[in-house]
Amino acid sequence: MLNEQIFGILKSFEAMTSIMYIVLFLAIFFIEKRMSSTTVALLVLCLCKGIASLLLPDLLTVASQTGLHYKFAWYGCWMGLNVICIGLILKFHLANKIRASNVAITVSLAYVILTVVQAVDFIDRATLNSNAFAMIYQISIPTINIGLIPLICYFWLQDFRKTALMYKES
Amino acid sequence: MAFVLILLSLLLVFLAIIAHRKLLTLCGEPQIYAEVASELQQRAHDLLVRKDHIEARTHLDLTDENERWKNDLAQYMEDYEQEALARRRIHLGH
Repeated sequence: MLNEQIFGILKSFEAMTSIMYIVLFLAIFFIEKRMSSTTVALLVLCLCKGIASLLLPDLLTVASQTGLHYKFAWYGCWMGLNVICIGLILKFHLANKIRASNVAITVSLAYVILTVVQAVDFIDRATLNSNAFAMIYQISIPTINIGLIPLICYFWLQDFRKTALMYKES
Repeated sequence: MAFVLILLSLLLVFLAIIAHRKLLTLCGEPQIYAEVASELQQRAHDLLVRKDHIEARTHLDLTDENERWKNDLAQYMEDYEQEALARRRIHLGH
């Protein structure tokens, strides 16, 4: 009962996350006015959300069929998308020769955790099929998505303050 | 079949962790900056020590020594400024 309530609240919040990511990206981009580590991370985050919303309807129909490889199509797609996103953040940093900020590290860590959660749930389904992780899976993914927003704000403000202090000196 | 799929998912997890660790190496301050900063600090310390010596001595070639010290100080300040500009360009992208 309580779990269902929590799940309902999480679902309703998660629908807002894509809009929040885009708003955050636009706000930070207009304040910084350049391609920094933070804006790259947020851009990749928005891109990932866009691809995810495009893939979701097709993947849902595929995953509803019975058979292990259909299940893997669901989990593998999300894992592949997460790996591509981390790779994109890394490539952007290498190509523009910028230092990784705390925001980029946080976003990439969130993708690593999401990948691990997907893999653990898939392995559970493929071997024991105990559904022990189904609850954790359903709760943790919206929690990570929502939790990223305050974390990004906190680390960005920290970086912003540091930059402002450096400018005051010169 | 299941075995291959599990291996594939583990491979993806490892790929994610490897990419994340590569990103982590980009976040720290490079070694060369730390070395340059420590060298600049050492030079500033030497200059201060020389200033102390000049002030402690009260005889003979005081003006000459003082002039040389001022030149060294100006050189040091210029180096410091160049280093600070280079760092700001790299770290902040300006």
